[in-house]
Amino acid sequence: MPGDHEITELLERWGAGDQQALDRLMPCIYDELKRVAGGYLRGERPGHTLQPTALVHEAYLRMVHLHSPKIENRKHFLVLAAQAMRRVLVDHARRHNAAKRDSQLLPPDSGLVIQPNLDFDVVALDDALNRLAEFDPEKGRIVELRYFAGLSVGETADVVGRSPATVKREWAVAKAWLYRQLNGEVPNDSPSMG
Amino acid sequence: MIRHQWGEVDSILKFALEMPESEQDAWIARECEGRPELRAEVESLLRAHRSAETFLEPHTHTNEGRRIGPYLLVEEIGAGGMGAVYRARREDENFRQEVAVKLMRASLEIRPEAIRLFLEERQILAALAHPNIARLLDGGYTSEGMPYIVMEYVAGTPITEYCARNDLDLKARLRLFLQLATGVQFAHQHLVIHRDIKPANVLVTGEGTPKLLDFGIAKLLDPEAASAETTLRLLTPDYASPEQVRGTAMTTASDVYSLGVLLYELVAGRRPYQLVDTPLDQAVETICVTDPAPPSAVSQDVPEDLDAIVIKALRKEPASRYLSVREFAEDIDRYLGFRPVLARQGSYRYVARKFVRRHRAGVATAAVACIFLAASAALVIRESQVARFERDRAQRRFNEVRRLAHSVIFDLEDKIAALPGSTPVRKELIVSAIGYVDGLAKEAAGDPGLQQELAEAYMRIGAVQGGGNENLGDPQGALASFQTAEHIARSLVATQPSFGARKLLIETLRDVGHVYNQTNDRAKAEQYGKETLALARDLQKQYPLNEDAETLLANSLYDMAALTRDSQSLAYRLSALPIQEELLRAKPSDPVRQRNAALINKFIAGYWLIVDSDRAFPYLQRAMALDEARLANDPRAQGAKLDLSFDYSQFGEYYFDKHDLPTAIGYQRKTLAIRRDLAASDPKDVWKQERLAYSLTSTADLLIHTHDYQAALANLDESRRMSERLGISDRGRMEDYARTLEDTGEANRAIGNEQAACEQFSKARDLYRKLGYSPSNPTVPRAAEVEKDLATCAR
Repeated sequence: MPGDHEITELLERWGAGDQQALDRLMPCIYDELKRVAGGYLRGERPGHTLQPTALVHEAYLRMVHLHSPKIENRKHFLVLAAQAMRRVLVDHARRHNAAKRDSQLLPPDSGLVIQPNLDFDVVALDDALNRLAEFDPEKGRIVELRYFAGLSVGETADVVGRSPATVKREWAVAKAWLYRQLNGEVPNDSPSMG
Repeated sequence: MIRHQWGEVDSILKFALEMPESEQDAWIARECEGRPELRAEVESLLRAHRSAETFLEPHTHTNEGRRIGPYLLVEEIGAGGMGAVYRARREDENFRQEVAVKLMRASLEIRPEAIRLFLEERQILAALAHPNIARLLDGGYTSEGMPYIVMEYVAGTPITEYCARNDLDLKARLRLFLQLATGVQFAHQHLVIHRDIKPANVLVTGEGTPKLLDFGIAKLLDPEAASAETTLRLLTPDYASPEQVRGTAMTTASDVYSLGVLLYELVAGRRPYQLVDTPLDQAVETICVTDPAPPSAVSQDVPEDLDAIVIKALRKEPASRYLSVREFAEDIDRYLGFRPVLARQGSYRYVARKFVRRHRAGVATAAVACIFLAASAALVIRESQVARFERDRAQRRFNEVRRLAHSVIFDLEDKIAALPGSTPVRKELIVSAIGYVDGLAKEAAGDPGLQQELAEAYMRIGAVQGGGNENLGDPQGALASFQTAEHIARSLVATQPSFGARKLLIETLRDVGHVYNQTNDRAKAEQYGKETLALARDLQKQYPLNEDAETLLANSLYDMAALTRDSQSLAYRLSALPIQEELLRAKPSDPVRQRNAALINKFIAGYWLIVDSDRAFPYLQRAMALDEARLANDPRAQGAKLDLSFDYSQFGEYYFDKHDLPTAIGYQRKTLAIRRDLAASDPKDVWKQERLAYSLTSTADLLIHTHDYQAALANLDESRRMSERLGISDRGRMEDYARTLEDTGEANRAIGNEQAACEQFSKARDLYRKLGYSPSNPTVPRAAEVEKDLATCAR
């Protein structure tokens, strides 16, 4: 994990368009989120559905404490956190699915039994979102922030630098597309191929 | 479909979604005329959109439209960590009322802790009946048994907006602020700190009454809610005090600060700092370091006195601010009455000028000399008033700080201690509180009540440092804290041997003895143990029916048992057992008594497991039943889980002794599962890590007996790594580590890995020697065994 100064520097470089900096930053946020999410996912806090906003805020607070006071501003963090949150959930779902398939591999009391309250498969959503982002990256980002980081329309608008009305429209269309993708009613002429 | 069409699909759909549903189809048909593929795609997505209303949207569990008791929930108007607030209507035949109903989140329902906190908020609110605080009207339980709170619904405007909209002049703004201050002061008198005073939480009603809302985070300690809220406030820190953004202890002075920011905004028209979009670190620095410009620098109409008042409320150091909201309000009141404000006291010319202004009519007809006379007389009077005021204030401050410190050390600590991973937070909390109490103790050396509190506070901190079950692994620090407590207790008993003081002394002696025992200073531990037992016997003789005295005696016997061996130890325990079981019968569901009774049973079982395992069985069963009952009462109790893991581990030993290996392994795995959980939930708690390492080795022991060497080695490797990470720093760990190495050697030898085996054996032998165990010592059979193991190794 990079040190405090490095994190600041990486954030700056990333802000200036250096994608490699992002690759280096990601693991810290991811680890942190995983730690924060761990309690929820392991079911140590029974009865809690996953509340991404709370997790992201909690992770942010811890990052601030860890790297205090030199973590950059909130916007950068939220974008990172949304991506990391997505990975946390998807990784967890993958593991969970694997565990279900081979339940005797699961230690008797490992606690890997609680799944966030979802009506659909996160892994499938992840795949669909990847496809959406291929031809409409902005919608991909908005879904990431809205769904995986749990941001409101207003907060999302702030992060992506668009008006709330725009974000609302993009979100509605993205949702429709993803919904169709996940629920099978996909016509042959899906726009996923270029 | 080709890619460039997605842009068209996207924009047609967006347009369609902006119009009424009835017009959408026609519009799409027109836009896509002659292009059936495009039309099919847009229509398909539109259908998806219509079914996707709740898809990917946060689970809101909205209760809008629901009826709870006589209340109809109309709309959600706010949501916090624990619940949501609804605007609701009470409708009777001839009576209609708007109220706010706060409901707990349904998902929290299985957490008794959350319910308790929610009920606590209800209690806080019930105590806060004040015209400037949104008041509690009713409360009850929903049909599912969830508690709810009914509060006054304040249909109002945030105070800043209210002032702007009604174009209030300075005086009117100050009067409004003063009303609010009485509400905050009232809350403080009830030991409630609001912690989130900002315009959104101060609504002014149509009649012009300001009302303070939202005590949701006032004193609630729901860990999730609190952290989320803290973060949110960190993200918009405009009204947060330096101590708040730093995350250090908050007091009533923090509310004074937030009120100061609010007042600044009310008089100057903007906040002292512009923090919107400021990176957090800069915001924190600004709040903690930069002095704000006086309000008059922003708005020229602000008089100097108000400048001084606002600046005093906004001081970085809590102690330099107004010491209470009342004092703050009184100063504003002085300003309004043309009297000298405290914020500027000390300037003679200033005081004289004020005097002149206040007595303008009189001054006009008086001689100049008279003015000076009068002015100096006024000063004399003022001085004696100040002295009295200072004394009263000191007393008030003293009581206030003492109450706060007390609540931090005792109430908050208890709540936090129950949460996993909380050890470092607890230490910080206690250290800051102890700072307060310590300062007070110097001021009031002769106050036995305070001395007692101080000793108790030191005992708490010692427990967090290294004395308790969940600690930071700092026995030296713990010893110092406990000895400070002991010292205070001894002098208390010397001056006034009350029951309370004697009890306190016994408790502190026990704590000190425990640390000596823990750090293997046996002689000291025994010396303390004996003194404790003697004092406890005396006390119990003098107060034979007193449960506290009985408890102390049982505990002292129990301590002595831990310091002695074999049959002597058993004797102490057997004499403690009836006392402990008797105490439990008096309060069968008291978790502490359950635990103590379980512990004694456990240790007696431990003795019999070695000597005659059949006799161990009933004690084992009793211990397990007690621990299970305790855990059932509070499924989150970490201590109970750990205790239960010891029972399982003992059953493992029992069945091993009975040659029932599968059952034995089953119990060891149960032990392991619990300890893995505990160790993961609080990685900083060295004791839990240590116990996990131990349990891994014990399980491996059994696995070796069943010839499952690979599984054994996996456990042993993990155990070894854990021990190495923790450091092989004391005798207990050294012994455990040696055992792990020895088992590793055995398993390696069994799978033919002779070289590794011999390396492990020789390391184990070195450790046993370091511990001073010789092969001829019959109490350490392992030391002899490892020599035998090594005998076949090549030199």
